[in-house]
Amino acid sequence: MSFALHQFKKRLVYLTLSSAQTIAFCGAVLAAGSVSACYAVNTGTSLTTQKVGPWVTWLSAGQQGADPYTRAHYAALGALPLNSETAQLYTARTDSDGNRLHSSCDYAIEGRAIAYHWWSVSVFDDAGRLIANPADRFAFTSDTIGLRADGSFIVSLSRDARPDNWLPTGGAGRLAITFQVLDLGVRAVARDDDTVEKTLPTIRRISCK
Amino acid sequence: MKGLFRGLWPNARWAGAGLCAIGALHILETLATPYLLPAQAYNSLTAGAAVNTMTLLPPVSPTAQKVPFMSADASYAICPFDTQKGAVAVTASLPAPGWALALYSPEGENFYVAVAQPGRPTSVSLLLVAPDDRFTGLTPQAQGLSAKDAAQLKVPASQGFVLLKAPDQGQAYKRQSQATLQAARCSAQAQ
Repeated sequence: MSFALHQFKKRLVYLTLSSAQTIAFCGAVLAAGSVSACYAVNTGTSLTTQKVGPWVTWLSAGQQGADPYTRAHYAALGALPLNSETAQLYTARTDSDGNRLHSSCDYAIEGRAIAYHWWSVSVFDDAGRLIANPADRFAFTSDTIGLRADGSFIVSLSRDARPDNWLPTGGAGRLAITFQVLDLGVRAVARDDDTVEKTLPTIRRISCK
Repeated sequence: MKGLFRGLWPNARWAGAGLCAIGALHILETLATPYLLPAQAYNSLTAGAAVNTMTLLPPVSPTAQKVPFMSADASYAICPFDTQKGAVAVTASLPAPGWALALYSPEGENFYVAVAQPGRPTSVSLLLVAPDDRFTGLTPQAQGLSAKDAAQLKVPASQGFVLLKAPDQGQAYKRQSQATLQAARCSAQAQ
């Protein structure tokens, strides 16, 4: 009897251990599969995105033959990009030093007008919502921005009013900035990193409260 | 040494199986995402807009922002089209750089886009025809138009929408932009 009980206990321990191992294995597989898919869909990889400084663009956004990651990214985001062959949309969630953009800080977006192309700079909260403000200011375009004599511009991102091109950030928390360039037959922003870096504005943190 | 590898073999098999399973799950999750999530952008943009009719959207603001990252750098007109009962004619004028006319499928694929060229207004005239279908209604000539006026465009989805974007050029141009948006047409053609 005691031998049978011993055998039973041994079998029970074996079953428990093997079940725990199987559950742990399945859990690890599920977690790794989901996390890697989420990362590839939300953040993108070098195969699907181009990252230059703080700016990120999805290379086949809006295209009919877009890769599955790009399709999943925009389906999850619920946004509607123009075909990336026609319009290049760059999004920044950090400043040029890699720090997360936040409404508690003031920033200067500094760049140079792209001649003969329509472009815009817009500010959103982290989820892509416009930030309510009494001035009703959410974006500047190549038509509405105030340029300096040498063709350069500065857009100030701040809670408090600033002179010239000011975009209010209120108390939005984390921020996202988009820079869109409409192509007029010729790519305004080339695909190679050097040209993109020279064309896109920089985001400089001025101060934080 | 052989014994060591023999001992590791079952673990290697498990590791291999695990990697395959991770890969399969990764691919499955990525491919399924567009189908599992409802066409959020399509639903929210076309809500309340009449089919085959160009409708002006209210100015984009924090309280009237239909989709994430829809910038207030432009005003929009939308026409949800349905080519199941016949072709749909779309005409619009793109007077200045920044203006764009884009056609989307419900899944958000931008399968056609026209942008204005600098220095000259661009007119867009399209006849949207259902996929795997041929338009058998009145030809452009029968309607008193030149055949070259309307380019026939076979759309990949029988439903979708046309989005006409008028860039913000400043307060002085607002009335003119609104008038150009209102002048855009989208209508079902008689069979």
